[in-house]
Amino acid sequence: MIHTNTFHTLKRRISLLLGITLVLSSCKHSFPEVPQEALGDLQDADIDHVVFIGSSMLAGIENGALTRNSTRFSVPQIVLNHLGETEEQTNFSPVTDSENGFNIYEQGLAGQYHLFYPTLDTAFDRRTAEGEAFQYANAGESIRNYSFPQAQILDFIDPSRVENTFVTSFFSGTNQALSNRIATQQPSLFLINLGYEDLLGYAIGGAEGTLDVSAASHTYQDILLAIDFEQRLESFTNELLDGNNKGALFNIPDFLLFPFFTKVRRDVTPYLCEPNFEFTDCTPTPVLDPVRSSAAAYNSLLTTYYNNNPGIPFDERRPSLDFGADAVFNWGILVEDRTLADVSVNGTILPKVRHMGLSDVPFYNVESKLDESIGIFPGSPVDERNYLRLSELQDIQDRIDAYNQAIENVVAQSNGQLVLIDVKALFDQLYEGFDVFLNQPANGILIEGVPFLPVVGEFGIFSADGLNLNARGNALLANFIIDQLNTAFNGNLKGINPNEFPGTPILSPD
Amino acid sequence: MILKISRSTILVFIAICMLCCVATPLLSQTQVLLGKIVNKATKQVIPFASVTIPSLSNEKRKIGVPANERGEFSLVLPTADLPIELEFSAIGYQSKRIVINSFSTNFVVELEEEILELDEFIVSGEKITNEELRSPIQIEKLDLSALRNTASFNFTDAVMNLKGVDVATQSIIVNTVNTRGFNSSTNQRFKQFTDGIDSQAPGLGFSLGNIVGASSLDIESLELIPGPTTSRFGQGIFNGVLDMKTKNPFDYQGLSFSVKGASIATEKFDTQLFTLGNSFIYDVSGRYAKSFFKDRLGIKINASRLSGEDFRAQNHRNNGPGKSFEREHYRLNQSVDGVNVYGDDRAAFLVLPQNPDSKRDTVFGVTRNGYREVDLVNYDAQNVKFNGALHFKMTPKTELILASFYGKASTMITGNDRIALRNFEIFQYKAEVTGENFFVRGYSTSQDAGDTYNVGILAETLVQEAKPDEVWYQQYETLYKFGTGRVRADVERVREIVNSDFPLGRYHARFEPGTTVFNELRSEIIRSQEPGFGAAIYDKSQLHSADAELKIRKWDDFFESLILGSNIRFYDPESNGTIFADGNGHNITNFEYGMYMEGSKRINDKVELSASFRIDKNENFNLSSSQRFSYVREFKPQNFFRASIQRGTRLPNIREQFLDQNLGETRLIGGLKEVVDPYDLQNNAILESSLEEFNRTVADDVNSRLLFGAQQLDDQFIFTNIEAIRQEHLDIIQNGIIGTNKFNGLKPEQVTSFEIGYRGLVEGKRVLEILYYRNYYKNFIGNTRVIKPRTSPMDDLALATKQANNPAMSDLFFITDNSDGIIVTEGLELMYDVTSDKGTNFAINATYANIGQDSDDPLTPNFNTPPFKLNFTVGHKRLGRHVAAQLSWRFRSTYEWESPFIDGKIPDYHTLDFQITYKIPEIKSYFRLGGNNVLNREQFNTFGGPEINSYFYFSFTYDPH
Repeated sequence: MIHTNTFHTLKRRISLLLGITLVLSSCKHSFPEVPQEALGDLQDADIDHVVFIGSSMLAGIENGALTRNSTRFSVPQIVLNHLGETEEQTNFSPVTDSENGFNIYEQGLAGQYHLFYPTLDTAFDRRTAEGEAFQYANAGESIRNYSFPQAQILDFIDPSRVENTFVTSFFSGTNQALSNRIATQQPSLFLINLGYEDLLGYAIGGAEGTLDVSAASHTYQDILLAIDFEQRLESFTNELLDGNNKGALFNIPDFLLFPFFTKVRRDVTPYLCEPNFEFTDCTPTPVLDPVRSSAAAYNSLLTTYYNNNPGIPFDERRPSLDFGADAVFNWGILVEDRTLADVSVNGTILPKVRHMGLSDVPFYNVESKLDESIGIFPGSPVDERNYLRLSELQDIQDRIDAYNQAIENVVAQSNGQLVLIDVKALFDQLYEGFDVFLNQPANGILIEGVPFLPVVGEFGIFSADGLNLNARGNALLANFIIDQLNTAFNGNLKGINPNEFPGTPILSPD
Repeated sequence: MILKISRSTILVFIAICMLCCVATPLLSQTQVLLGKIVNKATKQVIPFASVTIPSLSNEKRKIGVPANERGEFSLVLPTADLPIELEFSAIGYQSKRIVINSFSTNFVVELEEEILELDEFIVSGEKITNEELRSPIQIEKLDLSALRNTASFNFTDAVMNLKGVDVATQSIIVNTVNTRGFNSSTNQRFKQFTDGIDSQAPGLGFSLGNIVGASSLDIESLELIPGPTTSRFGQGIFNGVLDMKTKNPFDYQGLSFSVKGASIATEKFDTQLFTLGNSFIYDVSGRYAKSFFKDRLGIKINASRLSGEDFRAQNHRNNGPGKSFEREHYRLNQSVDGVNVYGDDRAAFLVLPQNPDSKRDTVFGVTRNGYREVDLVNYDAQNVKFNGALHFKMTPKTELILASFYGKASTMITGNDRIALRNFEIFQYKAEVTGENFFVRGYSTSQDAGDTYNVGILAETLVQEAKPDEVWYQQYETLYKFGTGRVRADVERVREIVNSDFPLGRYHARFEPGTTVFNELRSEIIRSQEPGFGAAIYDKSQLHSADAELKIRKWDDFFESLILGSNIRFYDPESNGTIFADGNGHNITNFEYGMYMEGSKRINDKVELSASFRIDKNENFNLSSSQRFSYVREFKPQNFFRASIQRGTRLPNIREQFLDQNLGETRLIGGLKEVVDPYDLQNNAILESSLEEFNRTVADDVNSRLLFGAQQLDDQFIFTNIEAIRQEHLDIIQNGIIGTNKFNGLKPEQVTSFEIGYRGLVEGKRVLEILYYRNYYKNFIGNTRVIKPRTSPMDDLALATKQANNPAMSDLFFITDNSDGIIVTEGLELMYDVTSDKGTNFAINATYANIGQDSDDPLTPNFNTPPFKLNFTVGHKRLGRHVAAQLSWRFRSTYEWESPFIDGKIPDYHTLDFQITYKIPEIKSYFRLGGNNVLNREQFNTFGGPEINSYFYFSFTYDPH
């Protein structure tokens, strides 16, 4: 039997023990929260309502197409979501629901490009998925990214222009100029990327358009006079500027270095015989004999023609076609060249064909067609729309310089309301060390030890079309924009880490 | 000046004088007993026999006098003590006790010779006590005599010959003792205590061992308790305890000192059978103790200094892909990773053309050129120790002890990396009150890392300062693919250029050891704590601990013993972000406490049961409990069977919780969610094991496609794209992505342990012991190794995989983590020990240990224990009057070593040690001559640790005890 006093004493002790235990148990070292880096701000510009205006570079085109996925990682989407600090992706752009999208560079209903590992090392293989009819999923809705594939300056300021089907598809049934529509939004800060697509259309059309045309007769593949471009750009920016807001204009990178213009070898040998692993010799494929036969037939007719017309000066004569064993790995792609003299033998008109030379630039789109007999038989050369000559390259380069000067002029005349986003400098840095003729790759940029290379493929920033950036490339550009805005507008916005974005997948050949 | 003397002072003075007058005649009432000891049969005198007084003696200390060479003795005794019993003994004779009733000057004692067969051994009575035989836990004890006679330079090395013991030799000063697996310098499951003080460094976590502990002059006994111990030592001690006790100033008074010196081979391993080495170390120690006020107050002070050259870690064999003899990068191996070469540890796996202009790719690893440890550190070793204690007997059985220990060392240790301790200081303070039935103890350990630095980081910074990885690897790849002329695809030429300052002026050429620029930069790095640059370790961590224990006697008639106790610990790590997650002014503390109760009950003469229960609480973990039950049965006289089962919980310690240490190419992270979360590993990192499996699978796939004839090989391989093959196996990486279910916080580790054993005196002559244990660990705490590429594998798996294979583009983390499944360890231990009547001791013990783990469990357990160990010793404590000797031989089978520092295989090794002790009782001194690893076998017991070379030592000790 427990005595009552003893029981109370015991009870008190147990209570005390439990109390101490509870107090001690409740002690917990609280680890301080890891402070999140603040977004920051721009002292000289307001980022409350930022609007992007541009073309393919900002429209979310990736792998040649606008797809459901590509719009998530467009430059404006990345920047606007970053500035909005949104956990979930918010949509600010014209988007499509299409999985494979609509390929803007291919004829018919082609979808996006996919890269595959080839059966030979180190060269990528590109295939085109099936596409779907183009349709915007949010047509007419409020957006802050006014960037449309292949949009040029006239598509924004001319209310009667219906050249760009992407613009007209999104804003169907209105006669309001897009510039006016954007101005009514009263953007606190606008970023314009125009001029790039105004020149690109001419370049990717194989310089088949017209240089220095007036606005009245301008189509996508023509180039507007630089002074006209400058006037329209100034007019556009004046419409957007309300005295308090700010704007930024992108200049034009040297896009002739983009993989679209530099990736494909001028040599067609690998499509005619299988090189050994050392690339020093190759075993002819079945197609080589017919190629040689047709080239021999072409040469025979050419010889006959010049034998019959011995007075034609040698420098005006066409070169013969050579797929001889002594020239292996120098078998230039056969291209159409309308500058060649007419040749007709016994009523047979010889196609104007020659081997591609070092001064010619074949387009990336050509590569996938080379094993479809294009570019290897005299009867089916690569047409003039799919390559550029040296003189054409120079024409385009001159226009790039002129347009960049025009953009700088507009910035200079804005009394400090406009600043320049020097995209050209970014790409110049990326292409440092690049030499097509010496086969020297570009150095690219290292971020946290990871290379960002201006290539299609491993560590590349270009998507499979060779013109538009992939997500990591867009993020690199987005981060560059933030950096430029910080410099221009005295800001401290935190950067975007391009390493947090995916590259272009390369799939197994199977 | 006029002295004012009070009346009370005069009275006290008079009282003292009277007391002296009374006491003096009392003290002078003594008489002398003179006698001689002779052989009963031959009547020959027996020289140097012992005469002791059993009533005044104990096991540790015998009170009495020795006979001289003529067998004569004289013993002064107080007259009042008569009658008194005396014991007469001599080696080879049966002891004899005689009661003395009166004094005599011609007392003759006859001793009978013991008649024994020459080959028969008898266990000496002091070899094992009955209490040790019936103990429910295994206890290996080394007393003063055993420590003196063990063949070892350092007294802590003496435990190496005990069964199941693993020693991690880190330097000539620091050794770490472990048992039953998980050997490392920071084994959290094994503890060392000196007089109740935990000797683990609160910050760096290694065992302070000799740095601050007792000197060999002050050590009284050393107890090793392998396996789960009683709960008295604290929570979570699953593997064992080494408990050292020092001499108290009452029983061991006076001055003692010793001087030791050893020749040591520290340079390149000399393969000769016998070598005296090239360097010298010495150790001087002194101890003084005295009691006052009739043994009520005692003080002792100890001081020692060790100086010399340290063991060197100079294993330069290749630990990366390829052959171990490939110590330098060359044409066929670009991924050389020397064991004690730092800065070359992580390889980048590059896909490159096999030959110039080839379209056929190959993949090979590439490492940077690192630095050998010998080029980075100074191997001078120093250790200075001071300690003192004040013992005050408050009552005859209650003692207050105030003790203070100080140690300062400069030496090398192998922790999570190779660490150069420089002017490392430890301070310990203890206050303890011990009574017959209780003790209360409080102590504090503080450390100051001084000028300590991390050798791995030093090398890594030197490498990166010359040219950062991202630039170096990109240059390597570019030059290999596109270099002009002879450079392209010539790995040796490419490496030469990349190691230069190419392109001129933008980077530095590799800093060559010995140059002025190297020395200046090295000095700057080891002084700096700057993250990403400095190698200096700041550590002023502290541990404050309090223990209390009470023997409850109230139920003595029921319990054999009943104990109630508690421990409280408060950790205050201060590393300024160099070890723990306490950078940027973030202060970390950790508090834990526990209570325990242990009781044992004798069921009958044969059977004893014991049980213990313990609860623990750490501020970051829920309350946990541990239980242990044991059963001991004496099935034959002095033959005991025992069985025990324990379910224990180990709370993660502060390193496992808060670690955040940058080791250059690796970062070690504690398991607390708050510590891991900032690194954002969930969905962004992959298991290192998955990456290794992926690389293996790709290599196997490529090789399988190459299993054709030469012609077919080319035809096949031209259609074999390595990148495409990698693509096909990305599912392996996909499965290794760290999901949101990982790293959500650490859980306490739990063990369920079973142990059965037999220990006994066979035929009353031999000690034989057999035991088997099996441990089941749940939530075992080890580390999970993950790689975080710059790009999340969830965003771009192929790109992330590419990055993960390149140290310039990814980070390697070792995260303290729980195992997914159960980890099982088991062991079988055998011991046989006999001592002949002539004093020859023969002991052999063997140990088998094993670990089992689910094959898909990514956790690295760091078992680090040889499956088979064998120890053999033979010795004699008294070969004649002056000489004692011991010979010991140890064998360790091959085993894998895993640690955050390095993984690798430790080859089997055996080692032979000897010691001869020459005693000179007349001057209470002895000389020791010994050698360790005298067969000069090249060996190391921690992978990446120092080579333990042959060394010989000589010492002189004056010690009246």
